[in-house]
Amino acid sequence: MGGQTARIARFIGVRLAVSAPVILGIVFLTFMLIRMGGQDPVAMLAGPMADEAMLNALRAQLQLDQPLLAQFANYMVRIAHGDLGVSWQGGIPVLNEIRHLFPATLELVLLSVALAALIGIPIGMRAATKPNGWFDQISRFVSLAGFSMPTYWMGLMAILVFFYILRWAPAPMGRLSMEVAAPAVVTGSILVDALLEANWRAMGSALAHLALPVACFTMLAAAPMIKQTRAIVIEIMGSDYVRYARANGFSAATVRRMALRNAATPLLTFLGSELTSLLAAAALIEYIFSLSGLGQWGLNAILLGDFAVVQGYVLTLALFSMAIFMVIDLIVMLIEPRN
Amino acid sequence: MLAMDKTKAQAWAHGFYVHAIGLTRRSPTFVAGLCMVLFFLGVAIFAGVIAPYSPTESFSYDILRAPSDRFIFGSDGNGMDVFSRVIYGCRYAFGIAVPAGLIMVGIGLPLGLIAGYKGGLLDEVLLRTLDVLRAFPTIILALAVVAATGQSLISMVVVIGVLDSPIFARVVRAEVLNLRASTFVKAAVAMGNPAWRVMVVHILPNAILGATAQLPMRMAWAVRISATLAFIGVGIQAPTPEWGAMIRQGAEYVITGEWWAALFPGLALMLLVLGFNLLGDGLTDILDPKRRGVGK
Amino acid sequence: MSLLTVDDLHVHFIARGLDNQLRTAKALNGVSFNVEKGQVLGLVGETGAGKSLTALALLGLLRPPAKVVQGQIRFKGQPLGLLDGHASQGMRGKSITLIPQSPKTSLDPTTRIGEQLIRMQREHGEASYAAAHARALEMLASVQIPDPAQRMQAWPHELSGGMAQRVLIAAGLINSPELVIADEPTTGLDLTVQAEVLDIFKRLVRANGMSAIIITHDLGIVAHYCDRMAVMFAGTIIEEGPVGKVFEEQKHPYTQNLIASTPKQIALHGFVGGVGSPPNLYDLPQGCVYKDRCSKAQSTCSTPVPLVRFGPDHQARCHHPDQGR
Repeated sequence: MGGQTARIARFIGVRLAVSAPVILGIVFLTFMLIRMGGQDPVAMLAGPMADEAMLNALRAQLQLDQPLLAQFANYMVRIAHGDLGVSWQGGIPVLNEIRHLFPATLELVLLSVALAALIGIPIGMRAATKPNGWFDQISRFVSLAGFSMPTYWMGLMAILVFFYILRWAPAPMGRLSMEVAAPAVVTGSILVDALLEANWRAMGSALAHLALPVACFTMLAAAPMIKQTRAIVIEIMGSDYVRYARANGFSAATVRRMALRNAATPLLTFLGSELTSLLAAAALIEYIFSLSGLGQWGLNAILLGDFAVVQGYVLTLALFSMAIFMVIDLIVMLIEPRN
Repeated sequence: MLAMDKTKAQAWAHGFYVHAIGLTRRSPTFVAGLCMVLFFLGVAIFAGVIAPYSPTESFSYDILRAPSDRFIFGSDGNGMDVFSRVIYGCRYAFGIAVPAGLIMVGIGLPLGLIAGYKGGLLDEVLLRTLDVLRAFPTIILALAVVAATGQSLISMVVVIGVLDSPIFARVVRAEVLNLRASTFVKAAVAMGNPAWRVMVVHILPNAILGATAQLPMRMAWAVRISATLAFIGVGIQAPTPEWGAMIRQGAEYVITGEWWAALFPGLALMLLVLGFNLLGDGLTDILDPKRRGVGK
Repeated sequence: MSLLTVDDLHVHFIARGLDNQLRTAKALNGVSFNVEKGQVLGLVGETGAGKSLTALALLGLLRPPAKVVQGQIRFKGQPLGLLDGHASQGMRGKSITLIPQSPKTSLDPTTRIGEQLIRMQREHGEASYAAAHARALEMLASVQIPDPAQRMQAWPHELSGGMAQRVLIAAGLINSPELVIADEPTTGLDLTVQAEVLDIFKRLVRANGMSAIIITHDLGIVAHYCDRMAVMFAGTIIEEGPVGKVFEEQKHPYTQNLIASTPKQIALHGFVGGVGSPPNLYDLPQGCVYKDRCSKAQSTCSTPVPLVRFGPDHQARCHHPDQGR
């Protein structure tokens, strides 16, 4: 199996080398963009009582008076040392806060994507077996309707119905009800941490708080999944080898299994890109439901012009996206015989 | 003379009717989407006639009234009629989506055409840009740029149009690549047509056909993202009757049960976006060569 | 009793155009032929004549919008279900098999060759994996694939076109069917490879006493590998008979045209011309379907065409068959 390991190592190496410039480009772009906003972070930091001299001193201290490229170079050097800077709001180190908040975002996104896949893929497959039949038309329409809903609006309506009217869901404030104690932080995900502790109360509360956001997010994520699965399966079903298999009198079950094996690669690739794009969209849901995730923090930071936070947020998303793509492509490379 | 005209008109109407039925059978999604989009377009155009009040007219004694005879969709936190605001919001939706769409086509079409046909450096740059965009959360990008370039409607339109262009360019490029390998293009080249002529006369019309299905989808996205940006608080200032901004205003009242200020603009938004998506979906169906004709 | 009897098969495609009108394409118009045990029949015709459709009907794979308007296919005396359904499923792949076109895309890209051959057997009742494995090896050897044990592990994309086609032949014969249908078995193959592949095919079919239908537009293949031939045009069999006799006598004008259009004949006698465009299945002429392209057409050709016999096993559908030869 030495050859296999070598292949994997080479793949990862090449992928890292190719991704580096892209990540660099993203960081650079963000760096420049956020500084175009015309917000003056120094004024924000120093507060309303500061005078000109204090502002200048602060500016010099933060190296904000240097040319942009120099600032960027400094930033890159600091990143290399693991220092992602500090938030202007309260001086919290960005790296720490990311570690603190990212698990919440991951929790939301992973749960939603898993649910969306569990629901969406079978629906897409069934729709593909009878294209333009009634099931197909209806599922397409429903999934498009779900997809066309603005996420934040869906969240608001869900809150209205399930919290205000029905009193089923808890208040959309945070990840746990106020009276419930949080479990000890191991992974950062309340669900997982509560599970590890067998803290059922916390887990129940966390689940209750996640129910609505996950439901909304799943609706959003399911639509592309249904559409793409359908397209993939239709193409496979129309292929020469499926036709041949049918001509050979293979049972429907065998043909289905064959189709699934062939669908695995394109589906996986698609799931990867869905996951990365949904990661960014999660910010809005976090915002509405106050889930204290990374997206909510990043979103606020952009509006306020909190440079380091925005850079850290974008960097995290970009790195994570690259990682997902790499893992998916690696899996595909290993299972796909055509490589 | 008049009798003849009447039968001609009748014949035309009958023909139209028959084709409409045929089209509906062919793709009900397309027709549904088209009707929805046209409906909203009509509302946008005739807003002045349909809306009972001016969208910015505020009734200080009628804050947060539930839907009634006077205020069909109720009144919002500033005492303005939600119904009228939703109607005028159509104008903003189209006013953003259409120019943004034009910018997107204006940039994306030549970009995709040249990149696909000539290849080389431009192509590489386009692909790398797409790579970056793929990993970069677009909404964050939009947010950052709009926040940076100023809170105005125009900057929002420009940003959305520009951000959409690479995606559109990629679709165009894919079509161009296919066409470039086709026999009739090769023949045109062999006959000595200069590159620009081949691109404009031979490739362009066919590439447009394939890329057309993308257009409604992109416009759907433009409407969505402009509303999202407005919801977050950039690009549009109150009291502009833009749907996203209206949802933002209405959001704070949802928890206390005053649902109408946020529901109706969101509903309108959803229906318009859905209309565009159905249109695009249906268009892809219709233009899909596999769907044409009868099996052998 | 013939092994296979196709009896006056009419298949139409019904679809609705954009103008909401129903249009019918008459794809098969009274196709009739027999295949005896141990016989190889060549089904010839230009593209669109209905050859592949006939194969689909034989396999019971017709789906809407195809509609069987009339006719029947009987296999060993029993009628076959022509539409895609369970009735004929037992036969497909076991008693009647298909060797498809485009060998490289017909194989499942995610399964190894050996596995596919084994699957072919197990789907049709072979319970023992070991037995299936052994037979698969055997078949690979008989289609002259070098180093069969190694090749069992190969992926389809690793094979050349010729090898893939041979694997398909192996798959088509592995369950010892009684009738094999080879649909354009040489598309996309080099000429030398074509000959090899067809030699192997014929040898195996003969050795096992199987019957075969070779669908092709290549008259050379018909001449070399088939016992009988049936010429199709616009969904009708216009001439049928032993290969030698049909080539010699060429009773139907279309047969004559076809044979005269082969490169060799053109080289010898010059271009005959008068081929014309394919018939419009939505709008077939009254009477003889070949009428609009026929150099010998007369007014009587608009009436229903009789079946004229030239001996016990040679017949043509024509008002004015060539009596001269």
